[in-house]
Amino acid sequence: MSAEPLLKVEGLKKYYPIETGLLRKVTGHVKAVDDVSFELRRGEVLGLVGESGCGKTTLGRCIIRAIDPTAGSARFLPAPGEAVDLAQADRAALKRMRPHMNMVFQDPYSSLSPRMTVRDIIAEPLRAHGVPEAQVGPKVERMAQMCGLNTAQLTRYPNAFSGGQRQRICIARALVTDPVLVVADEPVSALDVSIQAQILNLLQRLQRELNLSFIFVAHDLSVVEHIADRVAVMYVGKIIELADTQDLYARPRHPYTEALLSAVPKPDPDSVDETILLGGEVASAANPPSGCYFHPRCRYATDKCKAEAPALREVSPGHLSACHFAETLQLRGVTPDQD
Amino acid sequence: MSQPNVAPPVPATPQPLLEVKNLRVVLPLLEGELVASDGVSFAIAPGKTLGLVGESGCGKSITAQSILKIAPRIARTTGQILLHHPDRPPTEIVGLDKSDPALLRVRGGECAIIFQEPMTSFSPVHTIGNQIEETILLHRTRDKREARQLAIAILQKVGIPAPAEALRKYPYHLSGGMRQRAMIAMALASQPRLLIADEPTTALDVTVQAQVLRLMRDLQRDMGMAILYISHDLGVIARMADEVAVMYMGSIVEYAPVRDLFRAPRHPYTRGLMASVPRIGKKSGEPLESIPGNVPIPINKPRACGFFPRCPVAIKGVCDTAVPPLVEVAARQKAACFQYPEVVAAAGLDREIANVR
Repeated sequence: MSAEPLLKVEGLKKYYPIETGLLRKVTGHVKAVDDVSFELRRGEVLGLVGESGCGKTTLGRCIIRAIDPTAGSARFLPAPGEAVDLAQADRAALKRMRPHMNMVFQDPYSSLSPRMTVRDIIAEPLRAHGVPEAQVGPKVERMAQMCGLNTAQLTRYPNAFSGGQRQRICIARALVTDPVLVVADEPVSALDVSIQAQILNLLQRLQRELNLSFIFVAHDLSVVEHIADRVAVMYVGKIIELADTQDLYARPRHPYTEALLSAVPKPDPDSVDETILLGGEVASAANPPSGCYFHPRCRYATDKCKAEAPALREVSPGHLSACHFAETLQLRGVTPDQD
Repeated sequence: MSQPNVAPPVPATPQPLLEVKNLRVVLPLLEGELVASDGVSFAIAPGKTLGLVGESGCGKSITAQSILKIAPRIARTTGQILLHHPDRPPTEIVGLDKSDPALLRVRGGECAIIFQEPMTSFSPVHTIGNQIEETILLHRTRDKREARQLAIAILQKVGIPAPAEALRKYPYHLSGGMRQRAMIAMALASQPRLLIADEPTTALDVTVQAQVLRLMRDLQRDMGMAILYISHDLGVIARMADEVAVMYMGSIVEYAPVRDLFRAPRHPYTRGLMASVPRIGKKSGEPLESIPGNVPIPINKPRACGFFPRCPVAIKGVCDTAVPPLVEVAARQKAACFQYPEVVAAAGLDREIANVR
């Protein structure tokens, strides 16, 4: 693993203007992603968690330039000496980078064209990047096989496949150009429980065999814990905590993470319900509260939290938190249940 | 016709509130007959919660819909659904005509339902107040002013701030969590004795889910209603249910008190399900155990155990030729699997098993 990160995101922002009236005057902004910075190491799985509307999907899409960020940089280094700022890159530079990065979406039913055969679906990224036709066939077959699809299935159309198999097709399509960076946006949340495990195992195996770097966006904290090396927690457009998975789950350093972890129901009828109930609603990204965005719901909030916005800083080695009191609060992590 | 599940539906508990006996729902489709519910039997005691677990297409929702007779019109339903009353003979719901006044008393009155997506179950063009008061006017009082007071009281009970103002709002004004609370308020407005909750928290975030789960348990304690809780999430079921029925391909494959089920699952499908969920606080780095294959669609279902093609302990020659009945295989625990001698005996297949072995 080289010391230089594969991706270095700095000050990334995505603001959506709020337009009102007949003249569509801009009266404010929805700060979907608000000044986010982090690094993604080579061969690492970074989990991105948070509740709906926190900006995790927007962040993933900004990085891969499915949408254009408002400001900031995302320095991408697929190979030594090939650094590109994805946030600012022009069309030509982006096109050169496209084979190195790809995306897997949540809903395998709406992300596959019903009029293309599976072979054509998987081959499309190769053809788009001008790979000679003679190489397309073997590459498609190899990738399909790695994803658990057989050659006979390649001539069929997506409607012949179940959700889990469709997600295998989506994964094969995303990986066929040998990317180094994959943004997976809720890749298993539309699947049945028994199928979810198959796809998680597949992603994990491919990630290790091909040394991929993943940004794994999900709301299911158990799934993220299973697959991620490090986890970033987002709240109202900002990363509020980032740490190694085991460290974050066992010793959270932000009250929001603590509440989030406590709310996951454990599949054990004898486990005590220790949920920390959050009052109020998730703050609006159009009109966030003063100071720390979490302070109206935080049970440890003080006057300082109302006035000053905390910065994301290192509170112990490799553990970042955006809480004024991260060092002093005794927060509860997940206690593993006994068997 | 597949073989009905032989066992009596309930252990000897006091009078159940709802008894479902050998319910069979068939949807005739172009591709063939889809057996959505294949001889399902269960019972719910007053004030208790039965969890109904299973994956998409296993028949859990259509089973619940049959209780209110809101299954798709083409569905052919047989069997018995008995709603017991303390003071009069039970209502048998399957046989009721759709315009029978008894059915109207059941629907939204004695039994209420909450759905997964609160946005699609509210009318977007009526206020929250209108919709809750409609229920109250149908089932509890004719007086509009009293209905308004009752609506305010119930909104307060489910924890909606400023309930009097909330009555004048439209569903799109509310956030997802508040909308689900309003949905629960609407369901509870008629003071039902049975609440059917069909994946009520699946569309919600974990912190909101935690609030709604706690709310439902508090309301159950205060109002004493029974709940049929449908979910695919084992964590939620562990927290909510007293008893659990696990469904696969239209049949109940395991039926047990919640503790026994989670401590010692008996059916290979239940075991597979539990092993395939990553557990929070237990990062191992190892691959998850998963159930191979896909969830099948029960069209033209063969006379066999539905789980046979994916089962790690299947007995060839038996599991693919006969339907295992749901029988008690341990104290209080029922399973429909031929690996248990009790099940083999109940199906009368002792000789076949001996031949195969």
